[in-house]
Amino acid sequence: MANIAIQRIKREFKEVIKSDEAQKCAINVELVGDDYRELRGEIAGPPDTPYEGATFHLEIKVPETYPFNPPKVKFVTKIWHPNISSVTGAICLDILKDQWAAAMTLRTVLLSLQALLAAAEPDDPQDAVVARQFKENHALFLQTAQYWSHVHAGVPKGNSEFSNKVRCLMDMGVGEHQALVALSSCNWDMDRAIEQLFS
Amino acid sequence: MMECGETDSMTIISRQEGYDYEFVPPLDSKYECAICLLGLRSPVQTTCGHRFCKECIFNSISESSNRCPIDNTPLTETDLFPDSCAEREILQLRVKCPNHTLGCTRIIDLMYIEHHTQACSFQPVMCPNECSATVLQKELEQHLMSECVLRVKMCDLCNEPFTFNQEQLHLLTCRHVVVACEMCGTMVERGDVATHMTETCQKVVVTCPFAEHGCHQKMTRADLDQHMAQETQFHLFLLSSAYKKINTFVSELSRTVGVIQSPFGNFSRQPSLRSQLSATSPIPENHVSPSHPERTLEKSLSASGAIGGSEKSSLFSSAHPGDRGADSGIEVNKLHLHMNHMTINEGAKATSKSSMSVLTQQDIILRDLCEKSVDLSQSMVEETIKLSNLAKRIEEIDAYVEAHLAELNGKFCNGEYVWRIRNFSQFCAELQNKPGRVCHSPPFYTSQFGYKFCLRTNITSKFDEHFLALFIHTMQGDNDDFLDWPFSGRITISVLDCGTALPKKHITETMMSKPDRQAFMRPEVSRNPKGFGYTDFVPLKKLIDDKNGSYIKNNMLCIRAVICPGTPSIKQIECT
Repeated sequence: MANIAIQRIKREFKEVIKSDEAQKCAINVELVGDDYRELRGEIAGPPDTPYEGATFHLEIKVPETYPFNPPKVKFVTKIWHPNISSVTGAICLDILKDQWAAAMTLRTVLLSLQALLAAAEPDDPQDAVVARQFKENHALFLQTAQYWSHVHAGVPKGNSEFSNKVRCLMDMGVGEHQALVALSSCNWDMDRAIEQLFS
Repeated sequence: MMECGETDSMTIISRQEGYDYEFVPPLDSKYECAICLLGLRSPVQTTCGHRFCKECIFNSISESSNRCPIDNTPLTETDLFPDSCAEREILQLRVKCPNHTLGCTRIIDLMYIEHHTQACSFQPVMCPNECSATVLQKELEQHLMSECVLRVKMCDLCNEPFTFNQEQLHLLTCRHVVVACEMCGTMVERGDVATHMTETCQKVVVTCPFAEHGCHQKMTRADLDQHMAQETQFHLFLLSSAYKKINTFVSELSRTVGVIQSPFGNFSRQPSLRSQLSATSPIPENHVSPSHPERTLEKSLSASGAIGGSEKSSLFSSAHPGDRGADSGIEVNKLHLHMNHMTINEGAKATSKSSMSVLTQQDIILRDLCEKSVDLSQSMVEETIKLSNLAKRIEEIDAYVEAHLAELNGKFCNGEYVWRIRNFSQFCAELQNKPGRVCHSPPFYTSQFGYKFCLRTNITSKFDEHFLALFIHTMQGDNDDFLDWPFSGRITISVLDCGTALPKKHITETMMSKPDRQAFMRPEVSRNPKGFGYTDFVPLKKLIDDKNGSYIKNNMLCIRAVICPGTPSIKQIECT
């Protein structure tokens, strides 16, 4: 990796660790391996959102040409969000694509992602199913997103109705996550979910 | 490393990011490069008001995008200007010495930090002995004196140098270390062990000194004296039988010497040698000269007093009346007969002396002859070389004269030049065999102080037919400086009819120069690579089947170019 890329990442790493946000446990980074090519990021779900109390893990890959090209970031923790793929974790965010600028750092990227969780852009979606739910049945979207945070991202408060429906499908021999995805994308309609799973 | 304060980017060899130091107080973000996140080095400012290290922003523009890394404003290299004010301020900021973690407490202006680190006593340095240790500058001396495992030590015993970590190894080989003899246990220096074993060690088993005469007993050196005392009788017996053997051998030897002597006589019977001898005695009266073999022999014989007077007189009376060179060989033969006789009577010493002196004389004559013949062949070779050098020189002069004649012809032809291509059939064959091959005429001038041109020809094929291509090329001439460019004027190229029939059927094309063509620009190399003319001037068939005219006469083709500088007329002919 080019000298400048390593130098930069090392400094950015320190910047994140020392930042006020890290002190408040809002963001964090850890090394994966010893060459600064890959990092693991962590962001806390912002307050007053269905993600409040959740911790999301991110995979950050630093390209050779960093900082002249953006880092490759995706969610490792499953999340229900219009701009993040519920399947792959891929993120649709302009600063990770054409709006990247060399002056941006790990800290600003993590904070931008946190902001994205607070303010979704359903008109520029990554996951069309989630985006439709967001726009057409916002209350159900909030519940679903909250339930995903409970299942995958460590939020204590659950939803007994959703849990029952998932367990019901699991009893039919469906995997837990598969059941969750099917129910979430069918607006928690059991019949449609079953139809989607078994036809 | 770049000197602080220097802004000339030309001196930068490796990639230089910002200043990676710990600033005191911490670096204000306005002096931080947003690309490398370090203190701005040679800062430049963008038209959108952001500062970056010069290297960083140039790399950003070339490797990433033409936009400002901070606000994505479109940006090119022309939108950047050096920010000398910021640079001055940055260089005055104070920084901790990079060795502060190693104990250096200095905090100095950034301007002087690189100078300081070079001399900083806390600067880690590699051991110059390459022991792979890294030590602080101030501890280097001590390290080299007493710690480095590769420091050179002198052996106290043998005064030879060795590296410290090799001390044990050296002690195992040092010649002056005292070791115990493995036979007798005596303490001796390692270097002397071998001598000790062969000369003094009492426990070493030795053979009796009379072993070569037949006493094969072996005993320790301590017992040797006793053996010698006890076996004196036996040893004496061995000695006496050895003495007998030697006696027999000596008498056999003297008989053998006699046999060996006789072949020396045969040597002078060689016919070639005899004729050489006679040839080198041009004056018969000087036959017995001081250098003559017989005379020398006479001297040596009388000096040794080896033979009686009668023998001596008969020997030389037969030598003198000969008086002719041709006889001398025979005389030599006789001499040797006498000599053989003498060998038997008088012993080997005197005989070999005298025969050797005869041989030496013959040797000298032979050597003289050889030298002469070598001298002669040497001078012949020299003459041959001189001759071939002269011939070469004449060829050079010929070529020079020919070239200059051609040049003069070209210079004073007043724009009308005839190119005679001799040996045309071979010329065609060559051009046809090698596609892309072209041939240029000697240069010529349009007038004495006019433009310089040459003709170019090659063979092209079109619709399975071969054509002779003809072009003119401008060339760099002596007058180009004061001539008008591009060249303009009329060019007429003809393949000439050299037959007897009248009227002449020359094949002629006239073309006018075109000012926009590169072919008429002032040439930048000795010959303009672009020419002007026809790729299909005339079909080769037409030249060879001369029904229309006699173009090839005596296997020679004549091409005429007439070039008249002047304003182009209306009639213009399009050509390549």
